[in-house]
Amino acid sequence: MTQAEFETIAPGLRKVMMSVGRNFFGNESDADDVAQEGLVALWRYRDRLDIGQTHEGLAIRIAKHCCMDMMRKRKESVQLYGAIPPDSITKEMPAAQSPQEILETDELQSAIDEAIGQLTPGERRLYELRQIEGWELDEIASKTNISKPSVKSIISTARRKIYEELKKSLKS
Amino acid sequence: MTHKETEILITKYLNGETTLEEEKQLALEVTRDDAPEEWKLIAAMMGELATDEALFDHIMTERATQRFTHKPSLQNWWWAAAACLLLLVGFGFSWRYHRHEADKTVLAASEPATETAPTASSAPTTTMVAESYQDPARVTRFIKELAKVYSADSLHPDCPTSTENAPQESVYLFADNEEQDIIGRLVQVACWYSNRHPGYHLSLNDKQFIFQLEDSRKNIHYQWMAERVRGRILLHCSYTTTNSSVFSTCYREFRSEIENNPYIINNHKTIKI
Repeated sequence: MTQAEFETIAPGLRKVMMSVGRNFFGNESDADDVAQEGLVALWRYRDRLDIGQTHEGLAIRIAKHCCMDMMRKRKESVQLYGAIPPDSITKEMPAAQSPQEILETDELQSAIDEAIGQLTPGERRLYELRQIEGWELDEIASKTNISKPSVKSIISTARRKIYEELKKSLKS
Repeated sequence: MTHKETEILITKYLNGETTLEEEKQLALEVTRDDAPEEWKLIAAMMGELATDEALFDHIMTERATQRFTHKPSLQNWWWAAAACLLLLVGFGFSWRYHRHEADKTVLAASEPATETAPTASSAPTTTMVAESYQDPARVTRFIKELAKVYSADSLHPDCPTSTENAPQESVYLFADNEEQDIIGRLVQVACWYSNRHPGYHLSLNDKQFIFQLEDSRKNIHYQWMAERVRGRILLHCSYTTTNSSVFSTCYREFRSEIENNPYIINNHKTIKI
């Protein structure tokens, strides 16, 4: 998707993300931050967005992730500085990661990226449609013209390859 | 979920057999602080988009549940009791006052007419007709507010200037997602009314919601129809005098245009369906 094409869909997606943020935080300022962060994330992903398709589902997923990310950051600032929590929502979040855990997560993420890089283009495409876009198997089957059992089998192959690679990299 | 159930779900996940809902359950299990090390690989594989979505949905469900199961404290009960007492006292005074006024009217009517001009104080008070809770127009007002909050596209079918008995229509295009849950909200609105209400008709399936009511005082027939069209919710509100159709021909054409085109030009704006 080109910059101009992205700019045409961005206002609509921004509204959707604002609505997710508003529902979660209950105020306009945080909702605005969610939409802002979300649009930046979508912008980075724009090369893989198709112009003819609806991207509201992806925008909602990204907005939800941004909400959780913002809450994690607030929780961290509370733990670091002992400040009064900005609101009671922080209580709902699991404990923030320790530096050791962050390092482990980063290593794990690099291993996953490497494993995804070793998938065939077909496996990678279907894996991402499920993993990133969050499509159901039926939806992937109808939009890619691949039968549902084949979709299931390709996604399974991709997942098992990544899982095995991860196990190997952790042992080494 | 037990350890064994999670293990089964992990196998299903690796076999590509899990539904999105099952993956959300799995994401919550594998991201728990006390999850075994090998489960953390699955959490990492699922990625932050999926695990955060699961956590977000879980938090929102918890909040909604708390809202419904919240028990009022003793202090709240005292406030509620005090409010009820005040209401009772208020009703008592109001009833006594109206009874007194009615007695005066009866007395005045029984007395011979006098030629004195009526004064402002003796003029009949204007009766304030409180809008009934069951007024069907309330549904349309609710929808208008909903459209404003969610910035829904307000569409204007290019209809010829209204002829006699032509329905009054308004059309909105909402996003079809869990946050807005338009059909769910409309069903809640339909619950304001019972099947004893004139013209009550409710029809619902996963693609379409149709709700009809009549205002028998004003002889108006209302219909609200929400449909899933090309991944959006198309909501048509119309009212007309009873016995004429709630659908204009031009709306039928407009709807078919929406169904067949990814973009429509409406009110000089291009709208993506």
